[in-house]
Amino acid sequence: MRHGITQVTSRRGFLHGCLALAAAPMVVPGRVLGRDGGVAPSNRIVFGGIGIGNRARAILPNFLWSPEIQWVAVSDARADRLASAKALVDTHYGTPDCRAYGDFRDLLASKTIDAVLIATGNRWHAMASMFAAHAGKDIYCEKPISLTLGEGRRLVETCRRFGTIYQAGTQRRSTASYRFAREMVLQGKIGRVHTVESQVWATGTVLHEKAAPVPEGWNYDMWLGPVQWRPFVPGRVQNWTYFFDTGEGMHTDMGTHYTDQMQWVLGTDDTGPVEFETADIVWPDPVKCMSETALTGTFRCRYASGVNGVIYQRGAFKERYIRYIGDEGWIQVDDDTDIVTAHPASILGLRNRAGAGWDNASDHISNLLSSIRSRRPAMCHPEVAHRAQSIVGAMTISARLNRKLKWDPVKERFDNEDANRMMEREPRAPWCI
Amino acid sequence: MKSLLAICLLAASTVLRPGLLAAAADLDPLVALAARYESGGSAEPLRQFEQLLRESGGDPKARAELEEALIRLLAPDTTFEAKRFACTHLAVHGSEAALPALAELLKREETAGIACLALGNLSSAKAGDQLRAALPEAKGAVRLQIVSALGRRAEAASVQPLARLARDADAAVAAAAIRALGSIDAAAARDVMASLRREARPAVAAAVADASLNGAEQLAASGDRAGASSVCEELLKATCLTHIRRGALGLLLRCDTDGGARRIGQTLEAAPPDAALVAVAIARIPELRGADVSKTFGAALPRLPPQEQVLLLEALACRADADARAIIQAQIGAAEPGVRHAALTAVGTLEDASAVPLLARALAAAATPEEAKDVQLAMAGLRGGETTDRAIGTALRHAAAKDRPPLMTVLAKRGGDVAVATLLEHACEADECAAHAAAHALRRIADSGDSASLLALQAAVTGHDVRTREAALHALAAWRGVAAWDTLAGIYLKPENAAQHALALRGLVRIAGEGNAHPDAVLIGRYRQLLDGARNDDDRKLILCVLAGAGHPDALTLALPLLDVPGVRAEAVQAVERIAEAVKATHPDKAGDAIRKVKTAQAAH
Repeated sequence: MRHGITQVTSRRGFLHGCLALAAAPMVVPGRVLGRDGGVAPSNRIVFGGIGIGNRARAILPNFLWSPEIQWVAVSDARADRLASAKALVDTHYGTPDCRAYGDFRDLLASKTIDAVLIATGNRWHAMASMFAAHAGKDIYCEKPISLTLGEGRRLVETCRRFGTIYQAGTQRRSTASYRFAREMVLQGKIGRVHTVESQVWATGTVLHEKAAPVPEGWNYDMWLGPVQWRPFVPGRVQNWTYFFDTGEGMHTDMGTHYTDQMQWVLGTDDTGPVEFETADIVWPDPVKCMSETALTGTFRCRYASGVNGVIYQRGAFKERYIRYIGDEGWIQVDDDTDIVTAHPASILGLRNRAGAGWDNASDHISNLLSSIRSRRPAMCHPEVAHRAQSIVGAMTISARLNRKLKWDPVKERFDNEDANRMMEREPRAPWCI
Repeated sequence: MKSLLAICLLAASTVLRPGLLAAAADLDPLVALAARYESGGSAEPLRQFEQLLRESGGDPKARAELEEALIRLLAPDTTFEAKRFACTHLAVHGSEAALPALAELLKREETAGIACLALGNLSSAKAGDQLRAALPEAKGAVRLQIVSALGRRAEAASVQPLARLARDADAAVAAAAIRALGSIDAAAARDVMASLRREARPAVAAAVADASLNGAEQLAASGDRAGASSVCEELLKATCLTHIRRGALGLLLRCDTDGGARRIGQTLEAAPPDAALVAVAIARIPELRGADVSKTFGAALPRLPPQEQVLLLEALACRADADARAIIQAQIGAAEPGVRHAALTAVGTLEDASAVPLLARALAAAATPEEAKDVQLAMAGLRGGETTDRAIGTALRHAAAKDRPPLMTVLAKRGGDVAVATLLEHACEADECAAHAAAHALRRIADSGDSASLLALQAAVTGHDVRTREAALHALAAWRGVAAWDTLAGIYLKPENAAQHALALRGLVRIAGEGNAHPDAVLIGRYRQLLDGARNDDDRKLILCVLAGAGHPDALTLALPLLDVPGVRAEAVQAVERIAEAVKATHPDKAGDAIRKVKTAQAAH
């Protein structure tokens, strides 16, 4: 369905769609696999975790509580996190069996592991995914899925080559509020969409700080991974989001959730905008700050159809949202509260309030498990995820070059050679494959 | 230098602080500052460099001057971080002019990585030459770094040096070289890979398979399907790793001129089934073209293990043609529970009213509650709108007593005019069990908040039949959210009888109570409406009990007069005390005054 919004679906049609979404692709139920209503151990999908920091600990319960999953191993470059991750898994199962690996390559070498959760820092997402795909593992990877556009394309190609099942952690596609907003747009409730507006929060700065000894228990070399070596500076390591070679900033990190939604709603999952431009970018004061990424700014894109996308990086953490604006109304999802608002307000009467919020990734994980069994692509498969990520990546390049850029979404090339060269970044050996 | 000076002035005037203007106008001081950069120091020289680079976009001379300045940052006496900064930007803005300086960095382990950062992005073939020239002397991580960069550059000239390394005794180096070779789209690289496959060294088998698959993809992309298929056939061997075999089969299916139909059939017929490949083969079935595809693969169903049957049914459901639908419907009675579940789910997604009799029979035959739920879910999902609702209504009228409640639940899930009307009809039945089940189903609808069902109930509550009106009112009194307020309030104020008044009040106080979490003027207006319509002290007691939870100063205004009503004084006291406690922080005067009035009232009585 394109955003031209000519097809009108009835409420019943919407209900049917929801049920179909809920039911297919199907997760093979426990009773198929075990005799007692549970999943037979031999039929559980065996998982390991790569990078078990704050994000992993938030999402891990969604995995652990799935009866179809057996979690057997964790790895992390930090000994403290590794120990606490093992303890968390062992506590859940009531056994001491979770294996702890200081080097994720050893975890990937385990033949008993079917799939991995990758929740490292952003610098590792794509490369760790490619390591995992080469090791024959299926993948749930947190967003953003890559730090450069070239890396994202290689991820797509790698997963296709091995038939890897990959789910990007843009779980809002499995969230009831976002699905409702999409359905309303597709049903033409706000007319023809001309703008998709979203907002992420303004970020802080990181003050200059000298290099320090690497703390005991850290494998800093592995922590850096594909990033070219630089000294250990605590503020830079703790706030890696605010540096271009490790994070690329908040509009890229969080913004990809919204560009993913935009792509989904506009029906452009296999392509993307044709133009990028930024405005009002406020950079950190280099005298005081070592952080590099924008504090606030406006990041725009335009599709060949004329639809405009805009990400505002401004305001407070709680003020993030996405709003679809059409020629007959609008619909908005407030990310923090999961509240949907709309004009006309009558749209809201069509909402079935069932379903989990974005902070519960169970449905998204179920979709992955179903795909692992059927070998059919997951909802946020690599191409989908890469296209959404390309938008924020291109916005970053536009901001860094302070230049309006035209983009060919078929060839995946800019109209500017500097921009094209910014799509690639040589990874550091041996942390590349 | 003139053009650069102009850019410097522009940059300085727009971005840099006024005090830096002099420094920006001359690159020597800027280079000198940047050359000393280390973490902890000001990043201003670096940001200044970046600003100048941004502004130099259309000026080749200025770019050359800035590149030269970046190259100066690679001198031996600059800090590592300055060099790293320079390489990062030479990766974007560099040219052949940077090669000599980068060659020096390539020699040392600590700087080889950042040298490759720049070299990897230089389009000049000379960058590749430089990397290849450095390869023989490189050791350890430097060698791996260069191999990686050569792989990413994917130049045909790299085939020979990489082929030599592909047989290196160090397995890590050999594997990296093999993977790098795999990324080079050249016949020579693929020939090397063919030799390596024949050599079959276990230590690099995975890398050889990876790279071979990559080569096969290149062949397929260039139109050489036969060449690609030939490589993939080799990689399908059972001795290869599972993901390699899956990838090889996937590519083979894409290359096959029949879309893979014949090969899928062979895969499904293999005995014993090849677990690694069957799912991949089945996943391709939805994409196959041809009139008999569904029938052909449906015939394979009985030969497959249950899990693969499930996958095949899902695949057929994606095809959704007449043959596929017939095969799926036939599996509703399958012996394996999982297969039945898959068939039911697919029927619920694909079918309409015509499937109601079939599903009604399945419901009647369901052996377990789980299976009955599967059938219910399928019926709830059927297409066809009200036509399907009517068909379910018909099935309901003819169903055995035990099957009627689940069918009512289905209608409740579907909601809407017909479902509501049907359930209201059954709620008025003489059969108590049926009436009870229908009332329960109506409460489910009330809990769903479905707006179409609300409209149907609002119409029914003013209809001709007394019992229907009563059943509809029961449902409305349980309605989730505030949407039913006005209808209930209308009945509360002008009921046909006392029972209607009481029922409406029950619904209204429930809604008001839910609003206590966020008390506002609208909520207070609702309580006022309730108190104005109260017919007796029992009504007021009920209202006061809920009003007590409304932490709003105006709630006091409503409760205080009732301190003087003997029949509800105890409830009024309790309400005033609770409200006063809730608002005392924000409205201490009103709270204090209210408590004094309570004490006065208690003293007086």
